[in-house]
Amino acid sequence: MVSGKRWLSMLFVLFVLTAGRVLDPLTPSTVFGGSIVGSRHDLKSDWEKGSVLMKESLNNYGEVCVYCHTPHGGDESLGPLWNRDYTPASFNVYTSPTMDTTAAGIPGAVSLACLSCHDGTIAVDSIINAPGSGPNLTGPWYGQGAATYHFAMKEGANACGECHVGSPAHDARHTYLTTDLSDDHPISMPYPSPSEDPQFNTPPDAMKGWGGASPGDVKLYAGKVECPSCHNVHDPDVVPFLRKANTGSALCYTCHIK
Amino acid sequence: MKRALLVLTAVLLSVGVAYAAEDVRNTKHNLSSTGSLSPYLTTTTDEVCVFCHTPHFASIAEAPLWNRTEPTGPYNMYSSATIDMTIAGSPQGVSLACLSCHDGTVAFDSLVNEPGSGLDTIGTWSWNNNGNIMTSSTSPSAMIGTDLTNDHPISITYDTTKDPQFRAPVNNRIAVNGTNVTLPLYGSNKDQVECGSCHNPHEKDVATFLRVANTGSQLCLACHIK
Amino acid sequence: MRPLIISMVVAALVPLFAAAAGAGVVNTVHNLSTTGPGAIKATEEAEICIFCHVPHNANPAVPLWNHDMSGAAYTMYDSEYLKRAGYPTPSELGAAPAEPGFVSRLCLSCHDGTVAVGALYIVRGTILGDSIIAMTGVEPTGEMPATAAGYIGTDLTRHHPVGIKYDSSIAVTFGSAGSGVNPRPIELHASPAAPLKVYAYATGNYVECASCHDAHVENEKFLRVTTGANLAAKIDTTCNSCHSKIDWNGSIHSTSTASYTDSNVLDTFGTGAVASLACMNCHRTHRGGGVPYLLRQPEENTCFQGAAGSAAGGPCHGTGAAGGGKDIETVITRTYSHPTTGISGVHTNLDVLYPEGGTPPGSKGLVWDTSKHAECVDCHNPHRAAQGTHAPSGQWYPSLPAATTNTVSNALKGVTGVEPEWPSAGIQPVNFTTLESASKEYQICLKCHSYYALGVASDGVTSYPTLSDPTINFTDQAWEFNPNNLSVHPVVVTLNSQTGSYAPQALTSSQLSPPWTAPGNQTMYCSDCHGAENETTQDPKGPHGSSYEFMLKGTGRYWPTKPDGSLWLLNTTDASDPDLFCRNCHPIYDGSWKNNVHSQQGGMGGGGGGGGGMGRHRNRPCVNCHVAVPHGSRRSRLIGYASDPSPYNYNGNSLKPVGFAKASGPFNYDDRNCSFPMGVCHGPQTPPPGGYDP
Repeated sequence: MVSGKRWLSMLFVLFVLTAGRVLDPLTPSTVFGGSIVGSRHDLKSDWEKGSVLMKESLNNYGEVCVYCHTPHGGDESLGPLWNRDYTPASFNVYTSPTMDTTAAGIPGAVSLACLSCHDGTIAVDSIINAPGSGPNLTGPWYGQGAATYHFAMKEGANACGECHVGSPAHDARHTYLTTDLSDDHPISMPYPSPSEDPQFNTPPDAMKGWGGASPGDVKLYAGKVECPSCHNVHDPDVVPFLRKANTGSALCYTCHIK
Repeated sequence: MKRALLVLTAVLLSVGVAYAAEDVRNTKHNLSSTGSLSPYLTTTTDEVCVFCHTPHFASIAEAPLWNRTEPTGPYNMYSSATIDMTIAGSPQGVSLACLSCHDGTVAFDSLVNEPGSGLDTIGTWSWNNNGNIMTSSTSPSAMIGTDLTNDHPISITYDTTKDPQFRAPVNNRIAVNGTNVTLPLYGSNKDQVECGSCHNPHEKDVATFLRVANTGSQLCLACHIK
Repeated sequence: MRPLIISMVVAALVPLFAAAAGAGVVNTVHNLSTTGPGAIKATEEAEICIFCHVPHNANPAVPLWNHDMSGAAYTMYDSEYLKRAGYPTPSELGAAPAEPGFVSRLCLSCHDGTVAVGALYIVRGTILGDSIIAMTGVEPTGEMPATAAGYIGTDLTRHHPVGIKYDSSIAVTFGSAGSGVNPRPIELHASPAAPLKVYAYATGNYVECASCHDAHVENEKFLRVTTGANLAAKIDTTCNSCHSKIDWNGSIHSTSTASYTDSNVLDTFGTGAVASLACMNCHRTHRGGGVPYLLRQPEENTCFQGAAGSAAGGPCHGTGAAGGGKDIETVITRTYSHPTTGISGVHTNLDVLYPEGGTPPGSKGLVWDTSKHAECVDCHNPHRAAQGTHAPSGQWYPSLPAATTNTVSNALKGVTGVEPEWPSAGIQPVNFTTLESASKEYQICLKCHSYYALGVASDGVTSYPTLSDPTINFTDQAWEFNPNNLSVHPVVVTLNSQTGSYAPQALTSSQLSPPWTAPGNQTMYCSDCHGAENETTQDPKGPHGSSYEFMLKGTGRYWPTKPDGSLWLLNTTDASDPDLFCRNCHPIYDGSWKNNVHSQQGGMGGGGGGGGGMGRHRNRPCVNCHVAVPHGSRRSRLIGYASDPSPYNYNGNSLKPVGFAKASGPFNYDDRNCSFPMGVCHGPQTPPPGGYDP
């Protein structure tokens, strides 16, 4: 039984070994792409780069992966070794008269993982297992004191959106998906077969899509479209965390015949 | 050889009227640097879908993941003494999406999420001489404007009980006789005629983006019993 | 192999053509595309709707119009009837969607022949500008040829009005100032029956081409009414969807089983029956030959030949008609007739309301001097007339005339008339009440034969010569038939109701022949004396025309002269002559005389006479004592005085008496009843106690 901290250390080593970029996380990779380290998904890095107010807004756990993952005691119903203290909200899902398939009323686990931050219902630092041994939600935190506030991704006061409106910090409002997903690309719906909707390309693998083992192309999850079908949460190289460049809308055209 | 051609003809006739050919990249609706057919072209991005669609924070309800600033009109709706069905007071979702370019009030680059990480990441776009907004001088026929009184009614509730001179929809769609094309109705009750009922903005082969060529006015006659 | 391939091709093609099966406009001449069935069609353009409609940038916008509009100035339908009724007449067809007539102008963008059929605004996103769609069957410059069936042109006076308001509330007021009004509605339903429709504009509902026609419907003449056994039935339903002609149902023209023989009529309407053709017997909705009122032919010619190409092709009222209708043309063109065929363009509907002319300015009224006329519709209402006259077939007179026998017959139903206000005897009636529908025949006759048309007539005589004898002027029949006169033929009231007449008011029954066996309690028609010479055989009844002066009818048709021109005399020979007009009803001498004046059996001069009238009156002309126009007189028993003017006084000098008093019975006369100047007849007399008639 390794502690969460030690597990994370091992993972960190793995990144270093495979990408060799830990010291220069912003340099694009030629193999698997960039690293989460130093990206906007690296909340530790965000905290460290942030303003005084930023440091008051979320806990710095001193680790990168811990904001999402834990080696033990995670909630697998939400995602792989998922460490976020999250009870899915009720979502308003996308519907369209032009759609021939139907989005699930509750997003699938793979997408819920993303939504555990991006729906704005819980603080970005609301995790199950803090660094150290087991649940530790009261601090003191690794290397630092507890933040005064615990901001969630949403607009307005006492939320990330208090600052992230373009000034003083970059505008992050477009990443606050909220629980209203009706204005977002549908997720968690089966990828349509040609008979269901001939205006979709047929993936090479009906269950896994185009990406297969590679993170560099569109993936399906058990034959369904989920947030990570397009996004690679760990790779910031193709803004915004896309699996591949959308040159000529290539990402869109992977699926859509339009 | 002649026989083979005949067979081929037969096949084409039976399936050639099947699904319209969609590839928006090869249409006037490709405004990106990869486009060539539109009178309005930008050099700022090579993304095609982005002029209409975004995966997140879509703007116009009912329109599919719309990426364009919602136009505010106001619109003059079509009215006629001969109309028995009900026309909404303003264009609804799907049609409003089309009007977000075709009414000439919203610039092509007035998007919810610009290419890249979204929002206003680009600043000033670069367009060809025809500019970044639809004008009637450049597009005398495609420019709809906000005066819809001379355009086929949209956001009209398709109710054949009010006017028996219309064909009843089947499964909320209206079949184009002699083809396998069906025309969609929109709205929460799937009974609204919108721009998309006749047009497929991704269609590359049929003039004016119609869902099916209007030979013999078959598109008109799909609905109208005339 | 080949058949299989062909069948495959055919099978593949079927769905394409299935689109046309059962469709509406596709199968009509309004499909102007290459697939159209008509002579006018495109040589290349395959779209159908495009010739009229475009979904975007339509011009005009409603109804998404795509055809170049006509800027023509149209000559609009007009009629005095509409103006006199106060019905808004159509003004120029609107050029904007909000203006009445606009819907019709859309149709006329092809049908007026001024715009090329292929002149479209926009095709598949391309604005055509000056170029046009190539068409066949059109003029070299592209317009609809004037020979095309659908050609309307710019003169709309011969077409059913369009751009005209639909207003059923308007009524024509009859009556007279101060009297109760007697309105005639405009004879429209409150609103058109479906499937006809009116078009709403700000100023009300209007009739447009599309009220009757649906340009898209696969139906004869593009009529909205698609149900009916044939075109005639569809048109009948169409007309009656708006028009509600009073008493049309049951009228002879709506029920007659007579049939046209003209093959064109049968081919056009799918039937030749008069009842089936209904409105189409007389009217055309387009290109009517008679203006206004959309008549098929000008005025009486419509009645003569109806829908047929000639009178012989139809069962109407012309010479040589196929049978069914009365041959009016033959009788009305005889020597003595009402002026119908020789006069045109004078009659206007509702002219009865305007004896002095009237609105619209310059239009004709009933002034004899300037607008003398007698069209068929002055005496007949073709929408209400039914079969039957007051005298049965084969008879000159009714079988048993009664007090109400002067009520109009079926043939005269619904005709306008005038009723005079009756002044004292000897005064010309000058006040009249106009009647929407005359109840008595004389009310129709008096429209013309009274002050109402004739104007001032001193002592009842006008300055207008009769057609029968130019030396004889027309007289005022209202003046003559005034119930306040001392003697009269009972045209207006029974003699017992003749207030101006003192007892005994009526003759005795022995002085009359059947059916006039109840004197004093019977009335009669003007047309009991005036009519056609062969009414008991082939001639239609009524005073249309005759070979005899004054259209006198009956067995005897001569008065006051014999066929040889000499005056009828009082003797047994003349009194027994079947040519003597009076003898038709009055058996003056049938072996015995019917009063002692004619026989000279009594009286102071007495003597002789006996049964042969052999007394002093023997061989005296009738007109020595009686007025030559025996309608009525200011003296009893139609006696005239020497002072009376011609034509009452034949030649102005025939009447001899200067005083007359009616005796208590036909055989109670003596010399004192009749006074003369000295040296004339039996000279001056001492009047009876009551004095002489004034």
